[in-house]
Amino acid sequence: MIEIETLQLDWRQIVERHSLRVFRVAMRILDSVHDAEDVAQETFTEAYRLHQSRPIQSWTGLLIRLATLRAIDKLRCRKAVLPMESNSRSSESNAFELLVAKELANRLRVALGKLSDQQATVFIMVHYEEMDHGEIAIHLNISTASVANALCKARQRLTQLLSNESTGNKS
Amino acid sequence: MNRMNAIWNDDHPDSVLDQAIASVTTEPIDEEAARRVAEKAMALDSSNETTTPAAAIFLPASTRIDAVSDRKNHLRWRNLVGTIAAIAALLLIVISINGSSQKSAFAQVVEQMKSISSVRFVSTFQFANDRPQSSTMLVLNDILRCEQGGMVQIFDTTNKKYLVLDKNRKTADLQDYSPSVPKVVNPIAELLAVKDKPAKSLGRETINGQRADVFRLEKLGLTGITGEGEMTVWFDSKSSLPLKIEVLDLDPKHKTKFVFEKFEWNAKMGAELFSLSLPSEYKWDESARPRIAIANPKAPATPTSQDLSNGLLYSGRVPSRIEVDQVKKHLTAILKDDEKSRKFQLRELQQWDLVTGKVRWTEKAGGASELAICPALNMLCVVHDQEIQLRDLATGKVTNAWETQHPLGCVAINRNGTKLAHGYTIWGDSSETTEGGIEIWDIPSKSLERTIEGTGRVDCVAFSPVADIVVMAGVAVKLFDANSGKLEHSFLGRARAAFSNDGTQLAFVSAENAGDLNVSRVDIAAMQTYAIVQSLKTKIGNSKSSLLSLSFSANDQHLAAGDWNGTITVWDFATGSATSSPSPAKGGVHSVRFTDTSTLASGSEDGVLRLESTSK
Repeated sequence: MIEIETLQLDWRQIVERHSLRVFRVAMRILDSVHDAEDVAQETFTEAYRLHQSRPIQSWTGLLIRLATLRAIDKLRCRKAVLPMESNSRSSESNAFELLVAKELANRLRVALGKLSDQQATVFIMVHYEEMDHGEIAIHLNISTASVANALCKARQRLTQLLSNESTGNKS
Repeated sequence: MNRMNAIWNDDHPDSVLDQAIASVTTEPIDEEAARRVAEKAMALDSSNETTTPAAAIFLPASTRIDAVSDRKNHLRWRNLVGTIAAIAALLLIVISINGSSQKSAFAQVVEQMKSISSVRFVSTFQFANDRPQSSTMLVLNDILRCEQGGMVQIFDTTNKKYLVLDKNRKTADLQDYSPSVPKVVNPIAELLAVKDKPAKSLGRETINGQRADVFRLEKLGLTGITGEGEMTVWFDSKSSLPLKIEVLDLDPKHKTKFVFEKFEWNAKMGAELFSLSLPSEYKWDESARPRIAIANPKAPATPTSQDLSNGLLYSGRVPSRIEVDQVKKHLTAILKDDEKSRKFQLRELQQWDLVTGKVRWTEKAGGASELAICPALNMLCVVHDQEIQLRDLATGKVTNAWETQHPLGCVAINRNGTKLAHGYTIWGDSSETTEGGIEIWDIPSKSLERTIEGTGRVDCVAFSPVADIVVMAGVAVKLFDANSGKLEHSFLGRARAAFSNDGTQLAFVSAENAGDLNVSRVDIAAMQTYAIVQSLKTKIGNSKSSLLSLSFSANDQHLAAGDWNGTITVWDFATGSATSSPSPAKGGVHSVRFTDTSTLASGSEDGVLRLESTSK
């Protein structure tokens, strides 16, 4: 269901409603708590300033877009290899499976940095935030066809990048 | 490792991506960190007990097409009917082939054409490296109808008249063919005349699931195309009717490409589609003819003192780009044909003395599309196709030129004339498939310093006047370090951006809509903090807003915006007011530039270059 934000929404309510999502988006792109907190703070700071100067049509769209752009920018500035942070994973998991999963996740993050901003935003909204195309179209103020196109291109590109990484080809 | 390889070598690569997604989304989220984020974010508003936001009723956005700037979506017809003649020429010329089997194939085509009285097809036209423009073409006997975006053109080849309909403005313009316009012919009628021309067979191909015989004709002098034209035709192997036609004008001064496809032969179409009568709900367009007649139209358009006092510097061809040397009071512009024109002439560069209104020089400029100046070094840069030209700003003469790898779009020169940045766009079928980037060149050595890729469509570039920072505007607004190429900041903006003269502010078209399609938002960011310090709205226009140009006044107290819907908005930062141009353009505004602290020059599609005072 598409959320409706009414006239009476204040800043506190906006933060309460969206802070976890903003942090989650940044964290899933960057895999670093420190960097994700920085990006989330930058996102809310910029959103707050925009909020002061004009009405916001869609807080969901704005915050996810800002968080994605900031996180992708930070990702692109990083050096190629990310140090693996020690996350708390189940001690019962197979170590090799964990290693593979982590490697895949890191490769996806690097590849995500090579997408265009819109492709990255749509991809994240679909796959990380599990939003449907109609919802995304409304939040980003684009057509559902554009959402579908962006997602298709993003997946194609990411698949190609992940495949090239595995065969040692650089794209 | 075998298990690792098994994943990488999976026969279904999508599963690798889905596994990667699952790897990311199953990672736990540190909720304590999320709580810290929420606390810090709430603290931003700690000074206000109860924050009352501006009216923020969430309204579902329209499901209109993605807001890619369609500033040229109305038109770019270069000798359109001449192109139709090219089709005819193709249909008769194309099979001037040697060999008995080829002659019989040609005879089949001619026979087919004689029985055809109507056809519908899709035409795609691309001039130089501009965005391709597609249109639907219909032919019924001797009348041709072209539909593209909000414009319709109907050509009556028998009565030598054509009607132009603007669906957005609900205006119509009926004109006679002029002697300077190439002869208009019906492509089907052309088939009755046979003309021998050698055609090269390229064998067979399959397009759209149909087998086609492919032929190419070279060195063509088709109507509207110079002797460097090339035509490739795909004929249906069964019906011998064209499936696709591609026409190329390879002359670098005006490189052009036409593609005709999706033919529906003997299509059923209503006669009302081809009527030259004024449709209901339309009115005649009075702006189609020049509003002000220059005393001596044959002279280089020197305005009279009365013209100057009325704010008219020039009337004639369309000033599509203007730049101003505020110290010497010189204005330089690219002049081109208006988009309704059926004439084709090479573009020109022209420079005026703003004090006297006199033309200082005029130079032919081929297919020049963008320009930039560096008054400090007396330098003018013009780009067309893949060539960068440097010219003497005082004379307009070429002093240097070099080729680039990418087709050229917008261009900018830095403050000391040592670096040049140009944006390039490689058009795809949609905004998602369109790619772009920025090239930064060292001017003295004519060497490419770096390429910044992955920006998407690039509409505008500009250098900061005080730092080695370059801004690009297209699908987003981004700031880059011009020396390292490092991304400094991204804004939710699009299409156009401009630095203030003191370099402390950046104005750009906001990606946030203004709630009214006929209005645009312009955000002002402080360069020190990148914070948005102001958000402005343009004056409401009569049709959909598409901002094409932004300019700060010399003292940065005013900002002007030129819009394709004809509006010019000027904001006064001292008073907070916004005003419209006192002499609104009767066509889209291509370019605005302040000539000093309070005089604004604007070039618009009605072929007028205006000078207006912004002080009250």
